[in-house]
Amino acid sequence: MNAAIDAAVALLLISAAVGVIVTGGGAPASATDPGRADAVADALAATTATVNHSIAPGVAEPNRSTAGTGRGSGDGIPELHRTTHGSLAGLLARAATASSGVARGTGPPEEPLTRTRVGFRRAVADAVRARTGAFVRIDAVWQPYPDAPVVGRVGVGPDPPGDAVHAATLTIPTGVEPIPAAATVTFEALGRAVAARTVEVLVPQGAAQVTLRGGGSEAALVAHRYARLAAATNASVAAPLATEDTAAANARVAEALGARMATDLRSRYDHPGQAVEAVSVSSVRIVVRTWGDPTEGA
Amino acid sequence: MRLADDDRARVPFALVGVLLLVGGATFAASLSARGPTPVNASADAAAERVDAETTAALRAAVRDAARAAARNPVTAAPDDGSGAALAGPDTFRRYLRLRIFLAAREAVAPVEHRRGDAVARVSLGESVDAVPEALDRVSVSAVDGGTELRATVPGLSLRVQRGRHVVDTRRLNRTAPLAVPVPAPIPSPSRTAESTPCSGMGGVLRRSVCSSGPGRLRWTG
Repeated sequence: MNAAIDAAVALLLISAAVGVIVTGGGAPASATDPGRADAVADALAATTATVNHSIAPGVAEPNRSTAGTGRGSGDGIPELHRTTHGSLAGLLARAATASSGVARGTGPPEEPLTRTRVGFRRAVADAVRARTGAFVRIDAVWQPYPDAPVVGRVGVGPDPPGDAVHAATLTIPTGVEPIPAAATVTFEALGRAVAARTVEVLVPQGAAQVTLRGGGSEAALVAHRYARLAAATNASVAAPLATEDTAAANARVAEALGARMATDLRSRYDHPGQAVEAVSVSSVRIVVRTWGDPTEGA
Repeated sequence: MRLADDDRARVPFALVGVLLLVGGATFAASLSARGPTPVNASADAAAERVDAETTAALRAAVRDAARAAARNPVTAAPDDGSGAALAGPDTFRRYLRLRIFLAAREAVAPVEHRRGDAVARVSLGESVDAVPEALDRVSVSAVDGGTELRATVPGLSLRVQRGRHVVDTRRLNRTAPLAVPVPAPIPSPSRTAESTPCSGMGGVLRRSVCSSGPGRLRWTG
C-alpha cells in the first residue's frame, strides 16, 4: 500500500521533471531570428545582372506635342536599345538617381525629370524582383538631404506588413565628391556645394557634353533634359547650351538650385555643421525589409 | 505506517522523484538564463556587409572611371611633373589605371557599417600620394578579344573595430569586369606615332572617341 503511493508520487514527480526540462530548455533555441534582411542585402551587393532596356519612352516625349504619334512608337528601333551590367545594388542606385525629379514649388517632386529611363527602371525592378522573391521590399532612395526638392526613388516588391519586419540598409556611392570642409561654414556655401553635386548627378557635365556634340536623338534627349531641369529651377541654360558648354549650364542650374537649398537648409537646421551631417548627396540608400516565412522566397 | 517511521534502509522512490524534479528545474533554468546569443556576432556581420558593399562600390567606380578616361583620353604624357609617370608605351593604359585607383579610393572611403558596438570600414591606399605608387595598386587587362575590361584592385584593407579595439583586419582583393572596350589591343605593332591624337587607343575606342561621335559611350539623360 505504502509502496504503491511511493511509486505513484515518484512517477508524478519524474514526469513533472521531464516537463520542466522540455519546456524550459526548448525556449532559447528560437530566441533570435538570424535576420534574412541581412542576407538579402549582402546578396544585392554581390549579385550581378545584365538588364536590357529601351530609351524609347524618352524619345517619344519631346516629340509628343508636335508629331502626335502614339506612345512606345520607338520600341522596335534597335538604336534605342541599351544594355547595362552591374551589381543589383549598383543598378538600383542608378535607377534611383536616373528617375529623380525636381520639385517646382515646395513638397516632393511628382514625376521624374524625363521619361528616358522609365524602361531602365522597370527592367532593374524586374531583375531585382526575380532574384529576391516574395516577402521582400527593397527601396532605393537618393535624396541630397531630408525633404530636399530633388528626390529619386525606386521601390521593388509588395508593401510590408506593420510588424515583424526585419530591415537592413546598404549605401552605394553616386560618384560625386563628398562635401568639402570649406563648404560647411555658411548655409550659402553649403547650399551651393550640395546643389552643384546634385546637378552633377542629374546631368553629368562631361558625359552630357560628349553626347550633345554627338548629335542625333541622344543629343535631343539631353537637350530636353536640360530644358526640363531649367524649367523646374527657373534657370536659363539656352545660351551656354548653344555652344555645348555644359559646365556653364550646370553652374547656372546649380546657382538657382543652390539659393533654394540654402534657404531650405537654414529653415531646417540651426547650424551649418548640423546640416552637413544630414547631407547625403554622394550616396544612394537602399533599405531591405523582409518578413514572413524565412524558408520561402530566399 | 508513516514514511518517517520507516526504519528500513531504503530510499523511497518519491525522494528520487523530488531530486529529479529539483535537478531538472535547475538545469532548465541554467539553459534559459544563458541568454539568446552567447556569441556577439556583430563584428562578423558588419565585416561581411562591408565586404559586399565594397564590391558594389568598386564596380560602379571602375565603370565611371573607364568611361571618364575614354571621354577625356590622355595618350601623350608630359615630360615633367607628376604626369611624367604616365610616359612609356602604354600611356593610355596607365592613365586608365590611375583614374581607376583614384575613383576606387574615393568610392570605398564612405563604405562603413555599424552593427551593435562594432564598426567595419574599408580603405584603399590612403598613404599613396605619388603616381607610380598608385599605378602599382591597380592592374587592368583586356579579356575576350578586347571587348571587355577587367580591373583588379588588390590590397583593400577591411578593419573591424569594437570601441577602440581593432577586432579584425582583412585584406580584400577585388576584380571588376566591365563591358566597356576601353583597353582594346592595339592592332599594329608600330606605336611610334604618338603625335597624332588617339594613337594610343585601340580599334573600338578609336572609332568611338576619336571620330565625330563616341558611339557606345554616349550618355542619355
